[in-house]
Amino acid sequence: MNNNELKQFLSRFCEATGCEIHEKTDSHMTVKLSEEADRQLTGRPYYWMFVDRTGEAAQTMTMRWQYGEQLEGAQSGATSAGTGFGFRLPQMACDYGGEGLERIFRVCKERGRFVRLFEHGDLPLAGGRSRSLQTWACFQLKIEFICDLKKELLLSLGVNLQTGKMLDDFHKRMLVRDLRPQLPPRIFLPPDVVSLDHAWQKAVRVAHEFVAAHDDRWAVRANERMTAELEASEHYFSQLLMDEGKHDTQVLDEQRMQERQHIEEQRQNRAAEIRRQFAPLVRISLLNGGLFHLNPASNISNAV
Amino acid sequence: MTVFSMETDESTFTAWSKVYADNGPWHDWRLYKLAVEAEEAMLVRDFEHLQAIPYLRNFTPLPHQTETARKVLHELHGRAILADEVGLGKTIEAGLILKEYMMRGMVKKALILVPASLVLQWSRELSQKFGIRAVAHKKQYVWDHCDCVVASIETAKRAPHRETVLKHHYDMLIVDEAHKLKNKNTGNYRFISELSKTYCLLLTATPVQNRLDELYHLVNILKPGQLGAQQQFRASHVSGSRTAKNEDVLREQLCRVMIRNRRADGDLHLTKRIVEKIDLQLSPQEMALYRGVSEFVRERYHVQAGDAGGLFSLMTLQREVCSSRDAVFLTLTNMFKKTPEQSPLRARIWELVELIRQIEANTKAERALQIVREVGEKVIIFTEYRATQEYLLHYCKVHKVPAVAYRGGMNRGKKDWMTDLFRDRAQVLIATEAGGEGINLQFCHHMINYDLPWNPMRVEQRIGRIHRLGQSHDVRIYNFATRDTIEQHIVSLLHDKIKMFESVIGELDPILTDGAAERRFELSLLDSLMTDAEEQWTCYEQQ
Repeated sequence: MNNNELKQFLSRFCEATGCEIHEKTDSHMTVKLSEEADRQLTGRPYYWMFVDRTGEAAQTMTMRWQYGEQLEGAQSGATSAGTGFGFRLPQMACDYGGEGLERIFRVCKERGRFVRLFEHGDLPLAGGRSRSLQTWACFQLKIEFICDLKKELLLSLGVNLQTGKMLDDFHKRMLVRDLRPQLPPRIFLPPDVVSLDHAWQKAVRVAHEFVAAHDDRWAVRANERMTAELEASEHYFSQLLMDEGKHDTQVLDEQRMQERQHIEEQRQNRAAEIRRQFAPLVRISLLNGGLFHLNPASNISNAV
Repeated sequence: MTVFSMETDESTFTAWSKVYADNGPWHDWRLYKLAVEAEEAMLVRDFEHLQAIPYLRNFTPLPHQTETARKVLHELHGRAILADEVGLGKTIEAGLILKEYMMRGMVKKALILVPASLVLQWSRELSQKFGIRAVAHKKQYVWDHCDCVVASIETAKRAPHRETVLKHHYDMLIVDEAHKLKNKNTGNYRFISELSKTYCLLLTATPVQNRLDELYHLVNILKPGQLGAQQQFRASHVSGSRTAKNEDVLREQLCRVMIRNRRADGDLHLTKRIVEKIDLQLSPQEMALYRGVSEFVRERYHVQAGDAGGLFSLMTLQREVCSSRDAVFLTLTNMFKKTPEQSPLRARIWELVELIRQIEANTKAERALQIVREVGEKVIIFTEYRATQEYLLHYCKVHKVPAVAYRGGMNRGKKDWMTDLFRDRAQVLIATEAGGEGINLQFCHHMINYDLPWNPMRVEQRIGRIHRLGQSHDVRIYNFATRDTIEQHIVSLLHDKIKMFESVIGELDPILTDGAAERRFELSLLDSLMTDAEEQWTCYEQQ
């Protein structure tokens, strides 16, 4: 995301969470947080506990989100001039990869997990009976390829709960539609033929197939690295134990036992460390998903 | 055959099923779309590409720093010794690597162990340059509640912190000034080896200081066994404590765990370093004292029947004579106080003190003042001894040269203040060894090594204070050495050590002038004993 995209993103975030934007420039915006956003972004649980217990009217925070280049020296001047307050506004740096933006992203992910939406607009009469919509379940899957390196990709799969048909790139297809949380008037929702559970299992299966078809050289190489490291470590520690063994021709006294135990521990720890670092793993998780009730006439299968 | 394991995280779907069964509460479509966009923005699209670089807002890393980060991730697999020469930005490289792993979601919990005096500096730099919230350790709860902690190794290894720290697994461990881990028998070394860690960066400009074994132990922290078992390593690479063999093989093995950028490499636009050796002749009175002290040292050595530790402290006397009469006076007075009243030794010591009284001028101080006046610019003078430092401060004051002191014992605030004074008001900074780490004095480009330590890497650390990125002038180093004294021997010892370093690690910028001609120096008795004493010294240093 460049600065402009970030600015757009944050504006939309404010709109979705009911925050008021007081000032917006190419480098920062001043935002009066909504209660919901304040609870999640400002990290002041005690304040909110106080408000909840006493029923006091809540004062949400006004803060400044910085996303663009900050001009030297301009900061304090702009802050007090822009708001009319005498004091400095709390700042939150919205760097890509930084903590502030990370927090906003987290709120989006937590508060944007499951939706249920209906397509509005002109609906055809289905064979003279009432109008009907078709139900699709969408699964946004994240696939992570993990070793000592990492790669990720997103898979957006839609499963038609009436027919079982599956479509990929489903999310993109949804973006161009008029979708709202309210049920349109005089609408018939046919019962699901495929259960949500079933659809999920199908999506997971497809993800597995996708992974299986994926180039696996990364994993082969990671295994090679792991084996080499394990061998070197194993060789080293067994040598160490052997040398340790040479000394005690007669007795194993307390201290020597401890030393051996120490080496043995280190050997196991090191092996665990190596596995943790290199062992190739593919992890599939669900980012978010939804039920989309779509107009069967609008051609959803069209290539995106 | 599957070459990887698979894991499916069902938790989000389980939560969804519940919302589905209750038909609500459903989330906002706008936030749902934003969540997807957020995820796409943070997505690690391939194994290779460095994610962090385009998004560092406040600065642009230099090409060698970016390249180092790339290498550590892809070729060294996240466990490396960063051994750049002093002043090339190892902190930045480490920060870059940490940031990259964090952005890839591969590092969450990180521990950064640095000398106590640098804790705040690290924490500040990580936050300003990389937007990483690295908390300086103050309270016990920080270990458990903060993902990224900066602390001193001395704090971390002590109870009650030790148990807490060892209990955690760290995705990333960074140790600054890692040459302090050269001895595997120290508490620091054991502590670091026992820490549970996935990725690990050891930062040091001087991975070998005195002996090759130090390097072996350092590598063993990263990857036990990388250089084989210790006997095997000794047999194949060590031919004397200060000489290596099969250097090519060793260097190749090292490439897999160590990265070293040099000032001379590539297009770093670093200024030149000009080293000048200043040969000085002690005045007759000083020489008389030196002879007297040497005679004393010899006598004592025979009496103590070859106790190398004792010899070491006795030789300190000789070195102190070469530094200043104040330094040797202090030591002699202490010795006098410790000697029983009826001991004949007292009279001997008193004779030496009498010799000190004869001395009116300090040859080195005069020369230093001459240099300071000639260059007419800012100069740093490094000495090994506190007493010499005091003397020089006094000497500068008498000669109306504004000077400030800098030493290890000062707290951070005072150090910063002294640095500011030196930059804005004073012409001379007189520093002792312990003040050497972590200060950046690029605004000055003259340095006098008033006396030289045994260890060349300490000299390198000193020079690194001024010869680093940001220096705009050629840097001039003046090494003082007095003729026909122990100092000449130290110089030749330093040469041996530098040779070993270069044969294994790679070239060094000049620390000393070429000294092949100086080997003829003889001090028959001490020469053969020096090695013993020096080993002893190495042990002292490590404790």
